[in-house]
Amino acid sequence: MRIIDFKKPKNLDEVYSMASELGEKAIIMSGGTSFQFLKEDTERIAIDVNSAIPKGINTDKSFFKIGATTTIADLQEYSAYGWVLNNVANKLSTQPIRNMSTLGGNVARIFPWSDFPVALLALDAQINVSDETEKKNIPKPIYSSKLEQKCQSSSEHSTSHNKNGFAYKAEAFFKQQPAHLLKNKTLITSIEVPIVLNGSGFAYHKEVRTSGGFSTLTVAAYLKYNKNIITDVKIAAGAALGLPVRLKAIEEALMEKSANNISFEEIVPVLIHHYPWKGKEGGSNEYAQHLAETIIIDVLKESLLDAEGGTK
Amino acid sequence: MTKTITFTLNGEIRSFSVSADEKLIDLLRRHDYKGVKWGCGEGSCGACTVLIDAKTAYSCITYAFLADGKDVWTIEGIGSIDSPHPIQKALIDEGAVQCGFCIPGMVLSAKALFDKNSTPNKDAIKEYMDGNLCRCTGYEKIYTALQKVSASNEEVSND
Repeated sequence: MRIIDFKKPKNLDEVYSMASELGEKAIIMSGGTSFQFLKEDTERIAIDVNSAIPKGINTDKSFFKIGATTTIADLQEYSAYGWVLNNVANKLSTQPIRNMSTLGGNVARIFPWSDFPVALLALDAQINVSDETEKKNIPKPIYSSKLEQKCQSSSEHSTSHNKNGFAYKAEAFFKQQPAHLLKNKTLITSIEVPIVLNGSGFAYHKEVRTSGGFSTLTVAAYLKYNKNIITDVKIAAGAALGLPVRLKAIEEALMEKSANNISFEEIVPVLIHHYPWKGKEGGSNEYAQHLAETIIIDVLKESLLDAEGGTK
Repeated sequence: MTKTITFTLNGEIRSFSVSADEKLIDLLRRHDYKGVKWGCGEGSCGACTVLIDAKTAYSCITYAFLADGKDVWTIEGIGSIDSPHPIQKALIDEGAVQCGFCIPGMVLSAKALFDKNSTPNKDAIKEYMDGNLCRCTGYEKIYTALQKVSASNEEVSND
């Protein structure tokens, strides 16, 4: 890909106007770090959205709302009760990359080794997008509780639409390459993640061969329990499974089981074969599966510890 | 197609004509800022590190136009032969410079770290500096030098 021109819109109106004018030649950029991985042989015009889409983190009663152009370094440095994405951010590549990359960019075009999609899947995050027809209502830095309820009540947790644009639950958003999903003049404006309260926990592990290297296996888990029974669990994995996915078979088997390490150690080994683990960087598939089994159990144990208040 | 961008470079407001696909490293080296080194060219080794708005960035994967309106520092703006920056002095004193190719990036990363946290411990130093590779020293002398800067800052703050 060769960038032949660049535009710096100041607001979404300008973004859409430029995108309409440029058509297929337009490519949205924020940090631009992923561009080096794009092998397409085309000439593109970059639309730098850093001044058009908000950055920063706002909190609501149960959510953090993150502007799409917020850098990974900002997520790393942010601190608040129930904020867990710093644990994900500080494992992403190296400090200069974290300073340059944005959350929106990290989820807009995903790769097998992408970090944040795995965490956002486990957190059942919501990705808010706007499209040209909704541009006047976006990006208000507010929450839409009605929208959230609508998404949560949907059995597929797929998409919702209201006056603020569209919202995708992470699972629906990452079912395909988001770059394709977002082709039709839609833009990620913000991402909402839950505040991880007492009684619920989150853990994340990224397996790498060198400190700044790409993941060979990434696992994240969110777990909630009540009276020692697991009432909600979401597990996601990436890298060794191709694009990041939720591990629904393991989740379903763990639901309403005792919230203890024995449950994890009994259930995960039985169901690990359910997924087509692929070895990375010279590792065999068998090794990847073994690694996955061990790491999923560890991550579940850590999420339980977090839920018990042990890491909070 | 070329356009003009303006940013502060080493404390001085400068305007440059850039093509859209030009990387910041190429722009800087084209204007004789040769302390910005071309290493891996893919954002891994840190030889091309510069500071943009006080944060480290790999200039080899940063499009030059993204620097428009920002505050950019290269090694040419840090210390001098006669009056080296304390980080540079500590690296020299500790014998932490061998071939020297990685050192401009190392100094800028360390400066970003110390500007944020004047007294980092060894773990914080190692974590922050992991985007800068050195193939000569084995890192220990670099870490030792930076720990000495940290200790010196702590003494100053205790005085």
